[in-house]
Amino acid sequence: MKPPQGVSTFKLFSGACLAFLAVFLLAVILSVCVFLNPSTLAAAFLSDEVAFAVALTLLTATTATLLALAVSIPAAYVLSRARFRGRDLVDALINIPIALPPVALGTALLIFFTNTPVGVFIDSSIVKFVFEVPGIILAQFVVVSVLAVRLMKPVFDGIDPRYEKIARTLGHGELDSFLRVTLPMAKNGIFGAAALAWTRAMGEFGATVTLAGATRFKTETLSIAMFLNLSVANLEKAMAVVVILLAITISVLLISRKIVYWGVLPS
Amino acid sequence: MGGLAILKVSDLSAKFGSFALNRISFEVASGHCLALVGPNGSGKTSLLECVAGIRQIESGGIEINGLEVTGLPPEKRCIGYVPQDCLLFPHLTADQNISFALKNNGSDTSGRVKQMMEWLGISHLTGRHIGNLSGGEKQKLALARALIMRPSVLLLDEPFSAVDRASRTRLLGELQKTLDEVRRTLGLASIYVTHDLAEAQLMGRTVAIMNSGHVEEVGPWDRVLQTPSSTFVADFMGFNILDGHVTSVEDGLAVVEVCGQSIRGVAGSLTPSEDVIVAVSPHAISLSLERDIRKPSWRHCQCNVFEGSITVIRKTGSVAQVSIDVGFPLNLEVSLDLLDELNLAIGSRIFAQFRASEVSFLP
Repeated sequence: MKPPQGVSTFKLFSGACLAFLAVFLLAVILSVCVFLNPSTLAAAFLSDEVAFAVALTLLTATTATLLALAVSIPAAYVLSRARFRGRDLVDALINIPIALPPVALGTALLIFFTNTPVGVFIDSSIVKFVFEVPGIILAQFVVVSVLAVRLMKPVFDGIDPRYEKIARTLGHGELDSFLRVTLPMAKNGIFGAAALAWTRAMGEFGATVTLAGATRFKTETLSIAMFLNLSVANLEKAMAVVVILLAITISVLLISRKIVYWGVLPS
Repeated sequence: MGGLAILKVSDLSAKFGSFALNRISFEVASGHCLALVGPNGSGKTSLLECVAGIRQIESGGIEINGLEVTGLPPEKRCIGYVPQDCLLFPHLTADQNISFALKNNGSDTSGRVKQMMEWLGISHLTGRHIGNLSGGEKQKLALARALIMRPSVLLLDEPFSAVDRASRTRLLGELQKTLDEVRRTLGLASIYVTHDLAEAQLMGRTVAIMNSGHVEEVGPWDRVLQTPSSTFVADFMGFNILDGHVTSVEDGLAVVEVCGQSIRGVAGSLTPSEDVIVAVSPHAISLSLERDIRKPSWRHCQCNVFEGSITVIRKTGSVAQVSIDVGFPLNLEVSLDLLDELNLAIGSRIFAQFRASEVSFLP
């Protein structure tokens, strides 16, 4: 079959690949929705367990994302700008949490807090992470902070460092130049990375379940609620949780894209 | 250089990877502009960045108004810097770009910004986003941003490198007028970086020529054009460079043989039998259809006259680059009017004339 006039075979093939992915994902999502009948979904929405999971997930994901941003923005900036010995090693180390299965990451965190003197001291005297809510935040933080660094480094790479140098000659110090020039110029990229990191934190499961455990009405985030309901064969409720998670993440991603597109972020 | 030196650079050396700036010294007086020229990669921008404090230096010193600023960060040096591509902040409007430099200057900020924009004739840009500005508007805005903090030194790095040739001539005229006023009013010293000699002559009374990280020559244009100090400078200025051999020195004049022809010039310290480089500016050569000296003012001078034929005529705008074979190649620039008046074409027989005092001998 000949492609329509003005459209190359390559473009047609690329479009077909994109269409395949979009249709495949949509089909998977729709299959979950079709599986549920409205009354089951409504019952699940109104249950105390789901309400608790939604609240806990929003709280932990938001806290973890904010903490991750506080660390990732300067880290990504340094990784982009600074040239130092061992930079490649640091760059590779930052990739480890992305490369490792989340369960392995959670296991490593669990071992650190239960089997090392420093970890045990922190867990017993400063903040209790193991099988507690702070453990959820920590697990999400570890997963999303490196993701945020990876997403934000190219943003800083794309900003000419000479802008900061010009700001310096105009009477602004190093930090002031970063805050008043680089950060506002990177705002869209940072916002996009934050939105993606937040949705990733919302769905985090492997590291969370290993470090914080899966205790109903205690460490029960949406993904853990789904796991707990699946483990007792309550498929309807598990799928209702999936729908809620999907609705929240898709809404956030769409809204964040619109915000960046409209350019409504403050300078 | 006359007047009080506002900017003094002494023995400045710096290293950036495999490139280095070596022992650079010069001064720029109040109200003066130094044209910094040199081929691409000669270190002009690196030198400006060292003066601005953006790059670290290894040794040497930088003084502004008699104060040592070598160890000071860029924000403490009081230097206005207009980079090659203006680098206006894209997240700020035109007036916000200017007021950016006034963070600690209190409540009169908007008044000063307005005044500066009026002075440079860019008031209409208030509130405009910089993405919608023309090359000339951007360049004036970058200048306003650099000047608003009342610097002692202004550094301009090829401000027209991204502007098309037609706009460039107009903008150059506008900038020259503005800078003259700025220098007169604020008494600041400025450095204007370019690789275009015509632009450099227009902007600065003094010139520094850079080559591979060092300054080959610093001085007033007249002197540099009259007596270039090195073969590189002569070559960069577009001089005709010829290898010669001194055959005689008499009454202060040296006769140098070049490809079987004799060129006379001021002997200086030359001695017979010495090998020299002969440099003749293309602007010092006059053309005539006869052997007799064409310019009346030259008739009582010692002149060199060579007969030859035109080998190349390259017309660019209102002038033409002409190459003549007189036994050795001579390149010069003539107006199209003269080309028509003498009815010159490739192969035409012509006499090239230049005064002995215009001949430079380089070791």
